[in-house]
This record gives sequence, structure tokens and C-alpha cells, in this order.
Amino acid sequence: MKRKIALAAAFVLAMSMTACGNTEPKSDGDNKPAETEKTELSVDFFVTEDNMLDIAHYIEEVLPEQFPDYEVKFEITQGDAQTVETKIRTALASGSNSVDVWWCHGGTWATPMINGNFVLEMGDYLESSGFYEDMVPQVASFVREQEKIYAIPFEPTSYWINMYNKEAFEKAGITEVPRTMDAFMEALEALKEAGYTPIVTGAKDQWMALDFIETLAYTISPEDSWKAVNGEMKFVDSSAWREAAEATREMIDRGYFPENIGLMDRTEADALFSTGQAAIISETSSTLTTVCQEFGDNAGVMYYPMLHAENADQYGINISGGQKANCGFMVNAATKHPEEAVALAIGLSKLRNQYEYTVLGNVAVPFDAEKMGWTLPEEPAEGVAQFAGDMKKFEYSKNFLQDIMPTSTGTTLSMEAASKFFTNPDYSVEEFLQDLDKAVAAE
Amino acid sequence: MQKILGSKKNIFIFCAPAAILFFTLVIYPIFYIFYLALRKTDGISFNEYAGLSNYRQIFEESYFMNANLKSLGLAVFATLGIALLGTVIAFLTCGLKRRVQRFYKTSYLIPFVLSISVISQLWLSIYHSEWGVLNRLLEFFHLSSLRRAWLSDQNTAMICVAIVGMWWVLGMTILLVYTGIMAVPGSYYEAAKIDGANFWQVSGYITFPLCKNIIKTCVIINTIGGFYTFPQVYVMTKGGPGDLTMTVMMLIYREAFSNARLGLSCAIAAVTILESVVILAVINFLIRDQETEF
Repeated sequence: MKRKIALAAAFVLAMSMTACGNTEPKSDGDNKPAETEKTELSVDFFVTEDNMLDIAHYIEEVLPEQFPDYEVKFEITQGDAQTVETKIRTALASGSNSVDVWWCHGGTWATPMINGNFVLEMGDYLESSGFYEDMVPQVASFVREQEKIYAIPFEPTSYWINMYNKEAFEKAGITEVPRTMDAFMEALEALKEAGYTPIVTGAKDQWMALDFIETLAYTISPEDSWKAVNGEMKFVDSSAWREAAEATREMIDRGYFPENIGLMDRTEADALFSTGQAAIISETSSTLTTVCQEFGDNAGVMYYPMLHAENADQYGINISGGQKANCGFMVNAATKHPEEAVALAIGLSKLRNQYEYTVLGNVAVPFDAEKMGWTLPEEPAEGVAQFAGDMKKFEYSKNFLQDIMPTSTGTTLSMEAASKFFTNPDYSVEEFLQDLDKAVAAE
Repeated sequence: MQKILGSKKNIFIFCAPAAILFFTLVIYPIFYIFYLALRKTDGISFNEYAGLSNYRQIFEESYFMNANLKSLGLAVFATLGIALLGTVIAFLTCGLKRRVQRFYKTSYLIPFVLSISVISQLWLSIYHSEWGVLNRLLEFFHLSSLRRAWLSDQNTAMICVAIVGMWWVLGMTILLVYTGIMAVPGSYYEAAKIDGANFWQVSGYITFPLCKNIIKTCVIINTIGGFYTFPQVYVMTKGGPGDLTMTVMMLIYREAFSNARLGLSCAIAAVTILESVVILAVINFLIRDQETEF
């Protein structure tokens, strides 16, 4: 008897362990499906910046109304780019098809997923959906130019810029936005003497460290990154990158960056700037509207100073950034409802950009706002209006990490080299450039 | 109960669920690591045979040896700073009054009940070079010359990371050793007292030999734990700046998830597993079981 009880207990334990993994309610065969069966789709919405959380909640709220025929499981995942991209790649690699639509950062993040045939090629779906007619021509042609379309553009076009606190500039006696490196250094010195942290960036988010140096290099020769990655030259031979690194090292040595810049992430850098402790922040233009909301007309926009003073007329022309290939909402190739999933991805992109435009006043959205019937919340802030006008003058705009570097390993090694450069005074410019070349060569 | 457990069949049935889990979640992945170490794969889009090239690569490049040295350093620190220090503190605690012992036992365990992620964030705010508690304290005590960017300075970064782990786990070690000491029969101490033995003689000839096994366990747990340090590195520095605080576990994570070089990551993991076996063998050799006569 006792033996039977013991065996029964073991059996129940085993059954309960298998039952624990089953959280889905079993459908009763007697229950009939609802009259209008909704299309079930799941979305993983990644929030990598604080200002995205409001947008995520807004979309979550309006989604049922916008897509009444869909049953959307909307999951918000917060973290840095690496964390969220790792999550989706792990899910796909494990064979999970639980996510139909997700946001990808493009570049080398997207490559493994595309090569592994996990992503739906959307070209035919987009042609029939009228998608291109809703986009601004520049973005529509950018998307069309890609041989295969794997992502719906989702972000407002973003560039690497500097934003500054006008009040800090006034207190430091800076009357003019510096356009050359010499003037920039003088301005940084004046800001330091006035008690400000002259300049910040989220160097712990290593891509920001690299983007800083890259955008400085663009002021001399924007094509050098492309040439180096494609074997036409080496970084050690690029005077643009060398001078950019030397200028950055000089700024670090003079104490223009915070002491722990190597461990300062984006959130902390943003906080230092928004609390008025830092005078200039190097950031993406996607944060411009938030900065203008916080600072109002006190927020100024400036671009990277020209390393060669004789090229001052080229100030604000070649900027790192722009729309990125394969950056946006992707659809799972194994989704049961491809057409609906693509429609949802387009809808999510529209909702996000609608919020950016109508609530945040971000004019750099990829959709034609006038055609979409969107209106700005108020007259754009001075900084936003300036940037909107300046954008039209941009010529070369690519990003080293997202558009040029071909491999994940190269991306990581480049970013690490840049992060090390910001922190280790013994890490020379020569070593940094050599490590960039090694990164390019890494498989 | 005797009848039930007397049958091998019943023992097998009761052990089966745990054994299945253990095999599935521990044994099989270890073998799979060694298999993947021979492959070139990103885990998602391609998977081809690579032979020993992954192993060759990690020994040719300097990043693995640098990370390995840092992890071994953490293991040594954990042995000395946690296992041995914890043992000493446990010995000293046993000599205190009961009420005082109770207070200290509770205090030691407080860090251990917190999540390591929370602790890492806490220490991040202590080490912060601009507004961290440590630098502010140094300023307060007119020791501003000692201020530094603790987690960015190559002389202090790894020690700071090690201290976080030590703060977290020391209490558990103290408690384990303390429990071992309390299990020693009181008659031995009485006999020693009668014979006129002092504290050090009692500790050396009675307490330590009888607690040797538990001390060995603490040394093993802490040494391997130090070698496998990951959460605090991930939260505080992510192996940076650059590769300043890159440990082996962080390197495995970077290669697998950032660089999408799963095969290389598994090769590093395979070498790390073998290193752990060697470390365990050394510990077993150094702290051998011996007959203790009284």
C-alpha cells in the first residue's frame, strides 16, 4: 500500500512539473470561436531610450482602436540596443516563433537574422500597400533602392549633432557658435572656467564614443571609413581619423569631458546636460525635441567643428547618421499572417512617427506629415526649426557602425577601441587606429 | 520507508525527475559546448565545421589571456578575501558572547539576501567618480588626493569589482564555517581548557582540523565563484571601459551575443571548464582529507 502511495506521489510530481510549462488555457471543444475571428499577432517593442517609453505606452493604448480586427500581444522590452537585439536573436535561434513583429536596429544587428532566413522580405507587400506614397520622397527612394526590403523604417531620420545650453554659453562669454576646432577648444575652456562640464556624451554606450570620433573625422574626409572597410585604405593612413582622434584626446586630457566619461552611459549624460551641469551634449538628433521641450529656446543646435579651419564653409554638411538599412520593424518569416503582420508593422511605424510629430514636434519623421494630416503641436522650437532647415543641406550621411562596418565582431571591436580611447590615457592614437584596422579584418 | 528505499527500483523512480533535469540542463549543455567549440557559427544563420581553429584563435589573440588573468586574479582574491577571511572572522565570532554572535550572524547575511544586480547598482553609485559616496567621503576627510575614477582606473577597476563580490558573499562563508565550528563537540573544548590550551592552540589543533571539510567547501565555492564572476561586471562596467574589466565570463558573453561568434565563445567556455577542473584538483590536493585523532 505504502509503495503504491509512493509511486502515485512520484507520478503526481512528474505530472505537475510538465503541467507547469503549460500556461495557455486549453480550448474546450464545445466552445465555438467568436463570430469575427481576430488575427492574432505579437509585437516586441524595444525601448532603448527613456523618451521611447511614452511612445510605447501611447501605441499600446491606441493599437486596439487602430487595428480592431487584430488581437495584438504588445510586449515592451527595455534595455540597451545589445540587450534587446540579443533577446530577439536568442528567441529566433531557439526556434521560437512567438514574435511576429519586432524592431531591429539595422546594420550588423540585422545581418544574422536576415542570413538565417528569419525575416520576411517585404518588397511585394509594400508595393501593394501604398506605403511608398505616404513617405517623404527621400526615405521612399532610400527604401526602394535596397535590393530586398526587410524592415519598415521606424525612426525619424537621425543624425549625430551637438546640442548646447545657450545660457551656459552666455555665462561663459561665448557669443558665437564655434565652427572650427580652435574656436571650439576656446569655447570649451571658457565653459570649464565658468564652472560647467564643457561637453558630455554617453561613452559607456560604446557606439556613442565611436560616433563622436567618426563625426569629427567626417569634417575632413567622410569617405575614409567606407574606404577603410572596403580595403581601399587603412585607418592608420587616414589623416581624417588620426586628427579626429588627436583632437578628442586633447579634449579628454584638458578635462573637457567628465572624469568618468568611459563609464558614463547615455542616460547619465542626458541627465548631466538636462540638469544644466554640462553645457554641450553630443547626441543623436532624435533627442532634439526632448531637449527643446526641457530647455525651450535655451536649447541650441550645433554641428561638429571643422578640424581644418580653411574648410569652415563646409560646416554642418557631412554628418554621421541618416536612415539606416534594415533598421525598423521586421516581420518574422514564419509568421502565420504575413500580410497582416506587414500591415501592423507599417501601422506601428506610422503611430510612432505620428506621436513624434504631433506630440513631440519632431519634424524629421520619414512620413509626409502633410499628406498624413499631422500637425505640429505648436510652432517648432528654434532648435528644431533650425535643424529641419539644416537637414536639407546635408550631403554625405552614413554611420560607420550601422551602414559601413560589415560584421558584428568588427562593430564590437571598434566600439571597444573607442571606449578604451576615452578612458585609458596610455592607449595611443596609433594603437586606436590599428585596432580599428584589426576590427575591420575580424571575421 | 526502509522497505521503499530498500528497493533500487524505487530509488531510481524518485531520482528520475531530478536526474532528467540535471542531465538536460547541465550535462547535455556541457557536451554541446565542446561540440560547438569545433564549429564556426553565429547561432542563427550558419554552422560549419572549424576543427581546432577556434581554440587556436583564442590562444593566438591576447584578449583571452588578458581576461583569463583577470578571472584568475578574482579567483585568488576570492580565496584569500572571502574564504580565508570568512574563516578567520567565523573563528573570532565564535569567541564572542551569544547575544553578540547573534547580532553579527544576522548582519553578515544581510548583503547575501539582496540581488547581485541591486548590489552592483549600489556599488556603482559608491564608486562613481563625480558624485559617488566614496569620493565624497574622501573629500570629507580631506583625502581628496585619493579621489579617482575607481572603475575607469586600470589600477583599481578590478579590485573594485572584486570587493563587490566579496561584500556579497562573505556573510555566507562566515555562516557556513560558523556552523561547522558549532558542530564540534563541546567536550573537546572542555578537555582542551582543562589541559590549559589557549585560543590559538584550540583553533589550530581542534577547531580547524574538524572544520577542514567545510572550509574546503567554502574555498571551492568562492574560488570557482570568483573565477566565474559575471553579474557585477555586466551591471557595473560591461567589461569596459575598453576591455579593462573584461573577465572570462564577460568575454564568453561578448563573443556569443555581441560578436555573434558562438563557436569561439564555446571554445572559451570549454577551456574555462577545463581550467575549473584543474583549480578543483589543486584545491583537493592542497586541502587533503586526513585522519584526525583525539
